[in-house]
Amino acid sequence: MRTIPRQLTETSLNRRALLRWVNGAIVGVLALVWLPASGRADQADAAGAFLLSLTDRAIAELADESVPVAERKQRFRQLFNDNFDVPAIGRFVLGRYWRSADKAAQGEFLAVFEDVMVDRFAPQFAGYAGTKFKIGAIREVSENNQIMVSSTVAPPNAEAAHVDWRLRSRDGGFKVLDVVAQGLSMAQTLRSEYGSVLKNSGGKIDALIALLRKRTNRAG
Amino acid sequence: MEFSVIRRFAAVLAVLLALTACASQDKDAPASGVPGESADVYDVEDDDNDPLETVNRFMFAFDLTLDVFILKPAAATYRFLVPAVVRDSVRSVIRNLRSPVVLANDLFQGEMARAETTTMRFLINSTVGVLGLIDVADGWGYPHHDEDFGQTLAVHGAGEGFYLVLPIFGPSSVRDGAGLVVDTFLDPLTYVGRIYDIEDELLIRTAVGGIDTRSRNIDTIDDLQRDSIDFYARIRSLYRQSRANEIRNGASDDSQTSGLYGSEPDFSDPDFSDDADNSETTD
Repeated sequence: MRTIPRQLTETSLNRRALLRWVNGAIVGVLALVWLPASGRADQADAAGAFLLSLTDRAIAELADESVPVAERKQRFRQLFNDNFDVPAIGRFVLGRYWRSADKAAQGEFLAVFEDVMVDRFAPQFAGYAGTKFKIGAIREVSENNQIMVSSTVAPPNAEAAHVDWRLRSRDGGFKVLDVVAQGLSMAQTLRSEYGSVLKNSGGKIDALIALLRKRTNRAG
Repeated sequence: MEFSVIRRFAAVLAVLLALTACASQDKDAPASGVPGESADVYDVEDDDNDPLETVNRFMFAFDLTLDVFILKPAAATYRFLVPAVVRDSVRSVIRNLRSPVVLANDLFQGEMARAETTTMRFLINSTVGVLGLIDVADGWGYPHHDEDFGQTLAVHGAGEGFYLVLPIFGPSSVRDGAGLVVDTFLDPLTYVGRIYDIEDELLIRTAVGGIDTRSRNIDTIDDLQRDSIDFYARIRSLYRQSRANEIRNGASDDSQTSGLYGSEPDFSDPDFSDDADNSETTD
């Protein structure tokens, strides 16, 4: 007669212990799943905030046409170097030819490449004052700490464009790797073009550098 | 006469199927239609898929010359003389005339929602919009989109074949060039002209459409050309990326393992990652 309640309490204790263990395990698993997920959400928010502040600054500093072009170019160069991973982009753009070039040539290329970008894009912001910028989906690219942020850019006097930004998170900050407007990737286009020039010049990076330098000198 | 049209259509279809069959053998070709695409081929020469490059470059130069002496001046004059409202009406009429072709390709691609949009646009703009002069449908939630048979072929798995620069029409590919031919047969205007004995109605529409489109791109193309060091290669890359984007209907590219942009290796190649062995050499 006595043994039965004891057995009952034992089993109920065991059951309670088991339940507690199961609960703990569930919480533990949830925590494992949840924590990195919330970390990712933070990262996505941070990436969006980074882009918003970058585009705000770009329009504030570069859209004003009363500022002399030389001054705007200087500002663009500053923004470009601070927020774009210029060495990585230059390396991607040269593709397989990067490795065959020596360090001096690589450095020379990056310098002239930066000038080309400044000449090309610094004047593009004129008339973009009042542009509406909206962040859309943000997703992580599996490896290499890369994040794709999609956005809609609506200038006051033109049709809205869909622009994707490829970012890389590094040391708690972000750098832009590529800008993809309406499916057209800046880095990819330059890589194809420079690749073609390099192929036709027998892979000589010096020939490419000379051509680019001629371009930037002419653009003034 | 109708029999000859049907016979010609059958001939084109046969050639097309043969081409598509060839293209489909290229297992590497993704839906974007760029063959030879594979991840992480950093040390391999980027595949331009342009076996006719010499001929293409010649044709490109020819097209550019036509552009400089005829199309661009015509477009600039048109933009200068014709008010923006009228130019928008011209574009609306041309888009409205193209609706049957767009609808057919929407249906071929199984895009029912887009097919409905195209149908509603045609019905609304042809009536309320006064024969297509005003794009009323756009404001009513039926925005314009384009489709063509080249995209339909791509959606069904055809590769681009290879890059092709057509006389006058410019950048294209085997697939998209064949698509252009099929679209002409899908176009009711092709047959209306035959029945009513109107000549050159397709030619006129193509010319006006070309001038209108060019007039909207004058500044963009000038910008593109200004800092280019190989304009042919730049346009080839942009054409492919733009087609891939159109085939995806503008959706963001979600592929993460294969090359994201065209036939070249993407950012997942080792030299673009954090631990690139020579990253310290760049400063």
